[in-house]
Amino acid sequence: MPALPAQASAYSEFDAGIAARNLGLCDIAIAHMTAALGAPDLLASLRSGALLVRGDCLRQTDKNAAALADFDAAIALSPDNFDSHLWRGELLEHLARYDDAAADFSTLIRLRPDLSKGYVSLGELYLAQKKYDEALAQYATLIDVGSDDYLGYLLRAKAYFLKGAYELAMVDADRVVKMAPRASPGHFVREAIYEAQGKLALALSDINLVLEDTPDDVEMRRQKGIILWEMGQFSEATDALIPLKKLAAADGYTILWFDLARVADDEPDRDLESRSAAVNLTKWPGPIVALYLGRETPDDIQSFIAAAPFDERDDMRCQAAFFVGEWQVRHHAKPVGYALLRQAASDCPVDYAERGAAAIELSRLR
Amino acid sequence: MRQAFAAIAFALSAQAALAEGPAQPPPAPCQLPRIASLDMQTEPNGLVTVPVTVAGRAGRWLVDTGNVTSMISDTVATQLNLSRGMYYAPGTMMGGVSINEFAIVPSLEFAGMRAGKSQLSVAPEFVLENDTIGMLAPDIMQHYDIDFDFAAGRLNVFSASHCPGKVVYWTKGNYAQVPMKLDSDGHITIPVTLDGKAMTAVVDTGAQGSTMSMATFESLFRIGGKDAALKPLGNVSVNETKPTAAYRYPFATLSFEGVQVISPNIVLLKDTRMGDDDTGLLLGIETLRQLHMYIAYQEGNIYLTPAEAR
Repeated sequence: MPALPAQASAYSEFDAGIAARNLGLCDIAIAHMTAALGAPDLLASLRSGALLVRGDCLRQTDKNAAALADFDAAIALSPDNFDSHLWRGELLEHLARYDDAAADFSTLIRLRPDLSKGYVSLGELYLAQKKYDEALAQYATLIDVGSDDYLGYLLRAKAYFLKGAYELAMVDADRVVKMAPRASPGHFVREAIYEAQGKLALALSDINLVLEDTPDDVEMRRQKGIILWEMGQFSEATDALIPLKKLAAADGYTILWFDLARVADDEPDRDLESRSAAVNLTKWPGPIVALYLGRETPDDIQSFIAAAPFDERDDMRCQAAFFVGEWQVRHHAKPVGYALLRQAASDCPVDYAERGAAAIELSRLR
Repeated sequence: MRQAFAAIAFALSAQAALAEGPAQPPPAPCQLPRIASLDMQTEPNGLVTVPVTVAGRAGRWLVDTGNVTSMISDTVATQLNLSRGMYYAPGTMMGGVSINEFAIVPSLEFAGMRAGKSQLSVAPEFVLENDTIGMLAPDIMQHYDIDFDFAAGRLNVFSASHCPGKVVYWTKGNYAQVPMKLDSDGHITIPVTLDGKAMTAVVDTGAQGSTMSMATFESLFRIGGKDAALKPLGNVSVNETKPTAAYRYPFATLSFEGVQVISPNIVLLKDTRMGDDDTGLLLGIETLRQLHMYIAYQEGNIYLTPAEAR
């Protein structure tokens, strides 16, 4: 009666490596693929796949140098493998090696000019570097290459928005809403444009449209609470955020906005401790929640940001400026608080809620 | 990925066998007439792809015995400006994804063979991985013998015209000859034994993992959902649909007429839309790639050995 071989062969190690990765067991996958790659009888056609899978698992476990070496080796064996260039590009972007990442994403476009992935990846890379015109060029090509799919218009709307070209952004966002009226991305971008323009009632209208279809959309419901807070409707803001107690109990941002709305509504937030029980205080924005709980200080927040990965610090600084600014004002340190809010209003990217909220709060405090 | 069409109203001639390429000399008696040996690439998620060309556009296609009709990506269908139509009765893929549209391609090339005007279903973009642009399904494959040599990275295509039973060319060792049934959608079911319990299983190379519904599991094995050996895996989602609770049970042996897979990884799903609404078990690529699998569609048998048997 034939059975699978008792002794692991190169193929069975390869096979076990794929199965382990699919189960999310990266350490085991790395061990199996290392064994497969060490076996002389591993089929040449499987070797690049084994390197790719091991590289992906190494990347997931933050062993970036080893992951990069595997992706390099996989590409040397199979120069035209799409996944290899995509994954290496993403890793290089994470490592802030933007030019190298751009080269890999450009290779994706050369390999498959008919697919959207290369244009999307390259465009996002440019956006991360604030190279808006380069990103816009990629999205224009994506629209030309593509189809009647709304992805190209959606990404271009986002790029125009980040560039501050709100009118052009709105044209594309409107088109996305028309092409996919039941899909939230178009409404989401349009809502952000309205908010940036100070048209809060229109922003709220778009949010309500999305929530009609997806009432449990955590991000949209939280955004509704923020817009209502910005409109000065604090009681309504609290009501909008209440359902998130169950839907997003571990979401630190929701906890913070609920606290801001309730305190602004002259209702002391007495149950902050119990509401934030599920929040991981060691993971951003947990340290800010810990500040509001009285367990950390503003200096602790600065130390946390200084120790964070390089590419995450700017976002943290922006958010910290707003929430710590609010905390300082609440604790009667108004000059410090005002300075932080001014920083958030000027330094936060336009697609961050903290930017508009800080500007509105400053005008109220005046 | 299973796809169960209630009815396909528009019946073009796509499902005819592909017109074969240059004339081949007649094979010797009982010799297997090989049409092509294709580079079968294992994707990082374990699924396998082969080259296919439609309307001059070459690309990699997922080999999916669990689908019904072959599919082309929505984007590629648009880029090729293919004419489209709507099914009167939409199909449903595993996970509940609706397939509403079909496209007509002027030509389709697979395994060195070429077909003219053909109908393909249109696949939503999110069901295809990065650079995969289509799915090859039983509507095309069932006219041939399809030989999955996973260990060698080859998909071999043979003519169905050969002596019955004379197909296991890759080993002189033992093999299993498993009778298979084809339903009206071309889905393959075979008898298997799982920890001593006889049942039927669907062979689905388009599914990443092997699955069984909790209801079937509880009924067959008399093991309740609170048994200590059942390990909760949290919620899983198939084809980006609503997640359902999943569990793992330490099965010992999955047997195909003697060929065995030891400790098969079979995920038990609470929601039957994602599991086996009409059979006991769905065998995905994770299990199948431990075997060398030769599907003789016309003969009605699957031949199996361990993947590396030579």
